[in-house]
Amino acid sequence: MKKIKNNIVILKVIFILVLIIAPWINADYFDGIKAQELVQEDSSFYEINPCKVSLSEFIINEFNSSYQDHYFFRFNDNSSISCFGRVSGVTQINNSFYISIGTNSIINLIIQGLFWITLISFIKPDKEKIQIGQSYYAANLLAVMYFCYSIFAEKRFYEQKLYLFDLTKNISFIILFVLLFFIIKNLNDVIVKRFYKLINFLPVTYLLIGVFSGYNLTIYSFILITFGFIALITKEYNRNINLTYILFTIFWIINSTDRFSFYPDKLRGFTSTSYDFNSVLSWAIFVFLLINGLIYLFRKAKDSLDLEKLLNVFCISGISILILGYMGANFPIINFFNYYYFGQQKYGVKIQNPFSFNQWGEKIAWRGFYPSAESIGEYFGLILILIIFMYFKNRKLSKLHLVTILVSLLGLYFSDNRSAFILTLLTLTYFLLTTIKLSNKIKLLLLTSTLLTLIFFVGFQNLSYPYIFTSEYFLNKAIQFKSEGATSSSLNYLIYVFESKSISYYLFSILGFLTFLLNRSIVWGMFFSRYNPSAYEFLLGSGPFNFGKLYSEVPINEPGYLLLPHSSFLSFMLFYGIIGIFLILFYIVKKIITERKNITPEGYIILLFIFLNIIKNDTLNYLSSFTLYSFLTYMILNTNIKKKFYR
Amino acid sequence: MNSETVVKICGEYPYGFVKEDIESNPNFIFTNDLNYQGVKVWDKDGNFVFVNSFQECEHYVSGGWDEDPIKSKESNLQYSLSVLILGVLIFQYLYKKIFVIQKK
Repeated sequence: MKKIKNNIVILKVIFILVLIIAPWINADYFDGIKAQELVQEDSSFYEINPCKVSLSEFIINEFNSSYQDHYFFRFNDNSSISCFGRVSGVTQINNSFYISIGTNSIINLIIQGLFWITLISFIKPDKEKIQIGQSYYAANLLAVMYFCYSIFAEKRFYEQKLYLFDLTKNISFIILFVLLFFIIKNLNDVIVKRFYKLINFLPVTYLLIGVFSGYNLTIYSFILITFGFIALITKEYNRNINLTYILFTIFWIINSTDRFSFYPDKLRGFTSTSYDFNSVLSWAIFVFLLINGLIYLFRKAKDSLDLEKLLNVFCISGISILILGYMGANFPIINFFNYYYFGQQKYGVKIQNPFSFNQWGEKIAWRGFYPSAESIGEYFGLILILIIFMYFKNRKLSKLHLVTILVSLLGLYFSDNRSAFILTLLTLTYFLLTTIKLSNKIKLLLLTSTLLTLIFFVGFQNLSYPYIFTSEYFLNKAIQFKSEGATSSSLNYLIYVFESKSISYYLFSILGFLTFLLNRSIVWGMFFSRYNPSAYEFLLGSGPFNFGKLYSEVPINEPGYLLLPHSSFLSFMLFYGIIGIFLILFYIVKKIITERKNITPEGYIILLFIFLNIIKNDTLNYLSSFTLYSFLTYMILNTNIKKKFYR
Repeated sequence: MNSETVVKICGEYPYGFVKEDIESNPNFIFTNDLNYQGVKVWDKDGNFVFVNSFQECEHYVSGGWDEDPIKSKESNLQYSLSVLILGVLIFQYLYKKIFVIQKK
């Protein structure tokens, strides 16, 4: 039996190697065309001979391209199937070469899907398999149908990504159905055998991001949407949440009469690429199923939570993220493969030195492997906080924890996420003060040094400006971004509030002051110069994970690149309106009040950490953070597992 | 060339379409149809022409001209891939059935 298992592992390893090597050696080796060296003066060879030389031939011929910083390998998903893995063109910009490698979105679905399924299959199966019954097959079919519809709904995005694939023909959707069914069915077959273990592997979603190249889909959506359908079929859902959500959905789809496009960039996989009837409906269904799927997963698997395992997965993922990010920044070919095999939303950072500063002596935020520096900073901060919990619980740290502390401190510094650093420091101070017997002098010294560090991070000079300046700074920024002839309704309202000096003025001026301290005046100012809701949209939102209207409706003097709102709170205000936010907060606060006796300080610290990061970061616009934070919140508010979580 | 191919490349036959006898008239000139969206058709050597009326398109396609060979090749690859995947799915299903029955 053991021998058979070993053979299966060997076969899986061989299969993984085939998936890594085979796509990039695809070429006609008998056509007499050999790879030629790239020179600054002439790169015409690859223009004359597109799709003739494989990536491996190119690398063997020009090995320095794999490590020199002026080479950049880029995927061209809109290539033919026969061009897969071949050099489809070379562009020279200044002194840099951009080597376009032909890939095909249809093939990507198969290769990336099989690669990730095989990786997941290395997790040991559960001793006792979850009992789902016949609903499993129906859920798989419904999930495939939903994803076909989601592609139809975002036609404008996929027309540019699927090479010569006519989305107006039924046969195209039959092909997509077959391919999606193959991946989703095999993925779920592997997943259900490991269902109870999944929860301990949630932090891996930061490393294996799982976005398919050329798609606005992730492997985790396949899993969670299927779970969502299972929850609905087996009636294991929260009726109140679903009914409220359906009421919101009715408003969103009635309201979606305009048409706007949105380039997803680093949000690919977890944002709509257009605002119109079909995409609003598609994303409303997506979030509906996602919520049901997550609740189903958390409810069923909560007893399998193993905090030590979870922390170890956090540690290993954190170390891998930093190492791969650094290697990707220094080796173009690793950057290229990171994107494909880890399913990144965007390529890893090009900045080779994570310690670098700009010309004004400010630290440059280094995001490394992950698409967002802020979010990966949060991740490292969270690891440190969990290690602090673990240390004060067991009074010992393993070698892995010690290495992770060093790596996380570096990661936190590289990402320049000050709030995550401050929260980690406050957590450490709190535990030192409450769990170790210290003299009053040392306690005072500890508190003073923490307070001074806090002031240092906020910036001494920021506290010295007059209140009238700091409180109105974000409004002035919003007015600066406003283009002539178009003012958003929210900016109009803010101008009115600040001019009228009514009661609302005092509320908004305090918010303005906090915005200034949090260094969010520019990005939040930009948000309000764009945010143009009708009265109903302000109350109920314009649809989940849809930035199309925000970024296209009111033109502003923008910086020329995608700058997100830098606040999940603002994003959610756009998606779900003020009533939606109120309902979410009401539900959480009510749960905190009813469970207050069972929530220990560690639970409150994590809730505070999540809350502050939601306020000042785009964190919930990434599926990894959304899933992880939902999970942590659910677990903290769920009394059944408190013994595992707390001291 | 059958009428299905003509419909696939040129679109549906217009109501009351009458095929003109072009071969017996060497001086025949096709009239542009302003309501017809131009179509590009290819011969076997890779030469192509733009046709601006259904009449013209039908004439060329009936004469052996076809749609973009690159597009045809890509479509064939897409179909072949989906048939292959479908085959794998059927094999998986049968394997599971037989394997499970044998195990039982």
